[in-house]
Amino acid sequence: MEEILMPKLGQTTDEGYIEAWHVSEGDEVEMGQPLFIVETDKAQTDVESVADGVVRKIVVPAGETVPAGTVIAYVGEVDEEVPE
Amino acid sequence: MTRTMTFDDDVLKALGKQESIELLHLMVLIRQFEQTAYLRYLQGEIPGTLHQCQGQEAVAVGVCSVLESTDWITSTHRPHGHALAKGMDPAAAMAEIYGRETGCLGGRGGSMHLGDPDIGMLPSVAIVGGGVTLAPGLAFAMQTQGSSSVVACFFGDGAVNEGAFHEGVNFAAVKKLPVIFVCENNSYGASTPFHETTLNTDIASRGAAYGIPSESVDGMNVLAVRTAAERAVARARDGGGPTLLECRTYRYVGHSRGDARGYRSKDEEAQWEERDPIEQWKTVLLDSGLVAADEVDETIKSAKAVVKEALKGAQNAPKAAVHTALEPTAIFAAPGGHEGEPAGPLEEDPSTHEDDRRLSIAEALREGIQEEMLRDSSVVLLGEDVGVPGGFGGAFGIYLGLSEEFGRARVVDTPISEKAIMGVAIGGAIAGLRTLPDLQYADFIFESMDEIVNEAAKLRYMSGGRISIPTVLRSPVGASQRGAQHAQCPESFFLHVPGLKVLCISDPFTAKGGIKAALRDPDPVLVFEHKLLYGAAKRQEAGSIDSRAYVPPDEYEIPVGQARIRRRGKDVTVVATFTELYDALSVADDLANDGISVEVIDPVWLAPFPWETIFESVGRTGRLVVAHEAHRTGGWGAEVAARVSERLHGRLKAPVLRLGSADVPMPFAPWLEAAVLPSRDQLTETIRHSANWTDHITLS
Repeated sequence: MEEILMPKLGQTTDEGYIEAWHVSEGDEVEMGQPLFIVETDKAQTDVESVADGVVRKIVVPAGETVPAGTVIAYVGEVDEEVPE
Repeated sequence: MTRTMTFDDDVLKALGKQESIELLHLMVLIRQFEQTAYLRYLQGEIPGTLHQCQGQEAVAVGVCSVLESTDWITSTHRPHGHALAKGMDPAAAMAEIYGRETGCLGGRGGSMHLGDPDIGMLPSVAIVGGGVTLAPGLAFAMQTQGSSSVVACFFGDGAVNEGAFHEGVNFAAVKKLPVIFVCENNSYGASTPFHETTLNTDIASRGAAYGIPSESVDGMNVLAVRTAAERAVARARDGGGPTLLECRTYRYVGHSRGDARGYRSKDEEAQWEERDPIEQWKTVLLDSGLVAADEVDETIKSAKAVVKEALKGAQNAPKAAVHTALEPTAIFAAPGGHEGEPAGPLEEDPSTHEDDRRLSIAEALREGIQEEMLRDSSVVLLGEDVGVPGGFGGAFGIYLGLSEEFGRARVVDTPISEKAIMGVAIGGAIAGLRTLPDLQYADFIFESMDEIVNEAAKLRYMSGGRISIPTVLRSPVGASQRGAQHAQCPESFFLHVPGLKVLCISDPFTAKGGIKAALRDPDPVLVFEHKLLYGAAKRQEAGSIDSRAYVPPDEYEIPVGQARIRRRGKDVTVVATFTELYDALSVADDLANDGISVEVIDPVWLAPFPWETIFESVGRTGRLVVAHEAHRTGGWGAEVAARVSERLHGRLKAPVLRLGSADVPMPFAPWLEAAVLPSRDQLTETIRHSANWTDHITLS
C-alpha cells in the first residue's frame, strides 16, 4: 500500500490546497497518472501517483488545505487492507 | 508518434534480436528508474536534489552497448542513465540516491556521483567538464599498460565551453589516447540556451580544432548512436586515438528538481517527445518484424519489475551508518601520521663517506625519483619540458637524464595544459599507475585547482573508499626575483582541503627519502620545494642557500607525518620551513650566545601535521614562533597558533608569534622583494620578543 503525501511544492509555504480530484476511490491508476490538483503559492500542480494500483481511499477531499507530508490518499492492490 | 528514425535492415539484422531487445530493456529501465525517483523525490523520500535524463536514454544505452566490462566511463551530475547502461545494479543505484548503506557508494556520493570501479565507472564528476580531463588519464593508463580497453567520457553541451574541454580533448588527441568523447547536446546548460553561449553551435565541428574525427549523431536514435560509437570504439582500440561524438538529444524534465522549465516552449518539448527514443525503437522493432508485440510488452514489463524491486530494496535498506562519514580510511588509503618520535638533527657527513654523497636537493630528488622509477615500472613522470632531448629536464633540471634512462613513454612531455596534466595524473593513478605530474612553478597550480581540490582530494571519499589515487605533484615555491607570479608559497591552501597530503622539502636527506615516501604512498601528495634551496647545478639563483648535506646511498623513506627537530633547545620553539628554517638555525646560534636556547623544528609534513611533536616541544619551552614565507594571513602558521593555543593555553609563557611574508603580492625588484619577505632580523626580533615576553610589548 502506497501513501500519497502532500508534497512540499511552495517556496514560501509548507501547505497545499487541494483544488480538485482527478480520480475517485476504486479507480485504477498508473504510475505517473495525475491524482489531484494542488495550489501552492498561487501556482497549480498535478500530484501524480507513485505506483500502479487502485485508489483505495481518499483521505483529504477537495477544498481543504493541509501541511506538506499529510497523507492524502492510499493507492494499492484491490485486496490490500487500507489503514484506518 | 513520428518516426524520424531511419534504419538499415542489414544493420538491424546484424544487431540481432537479443541485442535489440536488450537495448529496449535498458532504455525502459532507465526511463522507469528516473520516473520512479522523480515521483518518490516529490513525495519526500529522497534527500537533496536530482538531475534526470528522461529523453536522453538512447545516448547512454547506445554508447555503453558497445563497451566491455573492462572499459571505463566517466559521467556528470546527470549520471543515472550512464550508470544503469554501464551495468550498475539498479538496486545499488536507487539505494545510493536514497542515501542508504546498500548504495553503490555507501551514501557518500548520492545522485550526482553514482559510480562503481567494479563496473568501470568513476564516481561521476559533478563539476561541468571535470570528467574531460580525467578520462584521458584513465585512457593513458590503459595505453601505458598495453591494454586494449577504452574510455567513454560523457558530458553535456555546457561543458564544451569549459577550458577543461579544450585541454582534455587536445591532450587525448596528441597522445592518441583511447577515449570516446560523448557530448549529450540537449540544447540547454541549466536554463541557458546553448546558442546564447557560443557562436559555433556545431559541436562536432570542434573535433577539427584538435585534428580528431568527429560525428554529429541523432541522439534520439539508439541505433545511430550505437553505430557511431562502434566506429569510435574500434578506432580507439586500434590505437587510432579519440573521437568526438555529438549526440543531439533532449531532457524532457528540468535541469534539476526545482526547475519548472519556463525557459522553453511546450511546442518545443512536444516536438522532441514526438521523437521519443523508446517509442521509436519499439516501432522499429515491430515494423521490421524482428520482435513480436508480446515480446516488446514482456521486455517493458520486466524492466519495470526490476525498478520496482530496486525501489523496495532502497526503501527498506538501512540508512548509511553515521560513523562511516568520518572513517579515516574513506578519506585516505593510508590514513594517520607518524606516531613515534620525531627525527633528530641531520646526520653530519662523516669523513668516512665519499665526498660525492654531499648532495644538493635537486640531486637528491633526482636520485629518489630515479630509484623509484627503477624499482616500480608503474611510476610515470609527466609535465612540461621534462623529457625533450636537449630540453630543460624540468624547470630546475631535476629530471635531467631520466628520459634517456627510462624513455619518453615514462617521462612524458605534455602540452602546457595544467588542468589536463593533473587530470591525466589523477585518472592514470586511479587506473593503476603511480603518477608524478610536474607543473614547473607552484604558482601554476591554480590552473589545476579543480582537478586537485575537487577530484584528487575527493574521488576516494566519494567512491566510498574504493579507489586510490597515488599521485605526487612536485612544485617549486618561493620568491627569487621573478615577480608576483613565479614566487608564491601556496602550501597553506591545501591544508584546508581534506584528502591531500602536503610535504615541504627543506633539505637533501628529506628530498630523497621524502620523494620516495610520496611515490610509494597510496594517496595524493603535494610536494613543495624552495627554489633558493635546490642547489641545481645549472640554475644558481641570486640569494641561494647552500643546503647540500649528506644523503645516504641506501634505500630509505622518511615516514609520512614525521617532523624533524633540527636543533634542540629549551627556551623557545621555532617551527619553520624552507629558507626560514635556515634563518632559524643561524639565528639560534646567535641567540645561544645571549643565553636564549632555541629549539628548531622542521614540520616536514603540513598534512598530516606532526601535532604531537609540536605540542611536546612547546609544552617544554612554553614559547612558540612560527616562521614561513607564505603570506601571514591564513598561512599554515595561523592553524598552528590556534591549535597550540587551544591545547596549551595555560602553559604558554608568551602568545604564539608568527612571521610570514607581508600580505602583498611579491614585487620584482630585489630591494622591494626583500621588504615583503620575512627577514632574518625580524626573526631574531620575534624570537627575542617571545623569550622576553612581558605584557607591555606591542608587536607591529
